[in-house]
Amino acid sequence: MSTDEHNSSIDPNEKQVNKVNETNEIIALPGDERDVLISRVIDGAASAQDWATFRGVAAHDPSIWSELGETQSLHESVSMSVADELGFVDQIELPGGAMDDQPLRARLDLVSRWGGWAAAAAILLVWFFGSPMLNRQSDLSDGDQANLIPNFGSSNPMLDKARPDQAFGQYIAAGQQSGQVVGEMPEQIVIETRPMPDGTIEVLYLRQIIERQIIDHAYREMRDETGKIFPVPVRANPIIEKSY
Amino acid sequence: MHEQGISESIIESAIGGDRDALNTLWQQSRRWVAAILLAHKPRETDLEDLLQVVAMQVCRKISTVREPKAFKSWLRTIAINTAREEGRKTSRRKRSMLKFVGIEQMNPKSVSPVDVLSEDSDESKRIYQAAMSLPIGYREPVLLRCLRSMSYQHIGEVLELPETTIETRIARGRRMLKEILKQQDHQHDESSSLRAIGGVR
Repeated sequence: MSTDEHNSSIDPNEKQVNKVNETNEIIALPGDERDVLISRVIDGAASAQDWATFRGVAAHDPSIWSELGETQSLHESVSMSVADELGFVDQIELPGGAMDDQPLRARLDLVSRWGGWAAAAAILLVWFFGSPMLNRQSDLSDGDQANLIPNFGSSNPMLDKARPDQAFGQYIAAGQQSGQVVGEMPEQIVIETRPMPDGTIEVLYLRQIIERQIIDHAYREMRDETGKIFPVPVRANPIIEKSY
Repeated sequence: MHEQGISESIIESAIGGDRDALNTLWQQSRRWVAAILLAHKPRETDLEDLLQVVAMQVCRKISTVREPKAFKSWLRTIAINTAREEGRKTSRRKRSMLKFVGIEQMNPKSVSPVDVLSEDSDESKRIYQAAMSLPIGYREPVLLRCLRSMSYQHIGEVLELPETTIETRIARGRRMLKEILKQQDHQHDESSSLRAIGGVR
């Protein structure tokens, strides 16, 4: 029992360390070969010769049994964790439809221009209205664009006259009424503070608004190995209402 | 699904544009692809996202595979590149976000894997984390062997290594895993006794 990697990294005479008894039965193995033998037994890959070697070694060194048990237990534990991690795998199918992502690119551009918080977020959720995006040929209509762009309309005479905090309040109130704005996060994150010549302190801070959109399809923006951006569908499992 | 049943004709058909063959190929390969991603991905990256990226790449680029025999190594390369690219992106994103919100100043003590481990009371998670800390050359075959359908021979085909090398790496990987865990136990015992001494004083 030997391996190419094994032989390449150990003393070539190490095989002579194998101890044999008077009937030429192996009764002790060097470290790597002992580990390989244990692994073969665990993996169901042991030959009749391997089993004979194992029995020979175990007869003179019963600790190999506990080593086998310990390694087996570790292997099972890692296998269970891996099985847990990969539990979702069978649900990942190849994406269907044509793979032309040009319509998506137009939407990504739009979102990066108008998305505000969404564009600042590390993971970009791109939303689409109506039909599946990958086969859709038309670009966004004006109406769709209006849906994407927050209604900060400067043509509104009420807002034109409002102070920024009043306009902001109106935006929150109108947004909550329409369902587009969920609310503002209570914590404001201070980015920078600096003293001003007049003794006051200028504070730059982040206000976080949570907005809401109902979408048909969501995609994450990912990059392939060449750095090219492309969409990856986000799988959404519909919520099934339970009846009791 | 058993991957070992992949025939060259299915791969050939998939390369030639047969959608059904490509689906079959994917269904037979996605489990080991996920295991490759698991071995290579950064800790904080979502495995499901990565697998979807690979699925997308398979669709887009299957026609570039030159011959059926190259399919497995091609697919593994895509998986590794996807995991690495996502890792670079994640660390870039993390750095820029930290800089932006000033978390570095607010919370200078970063959480190390050891801290996470010490908080983790679940033994199986501890073992899993130890397996994930193995050098990649050992981690990959050890994780692949956790899939029932992956024999030494099959792992060798995916990793393009001789079967004997695979079994040595798996055996050594398991040995290393035991040593890592023993070392952690030893460190834990030492710090417990130090705390006990501190408590007496």
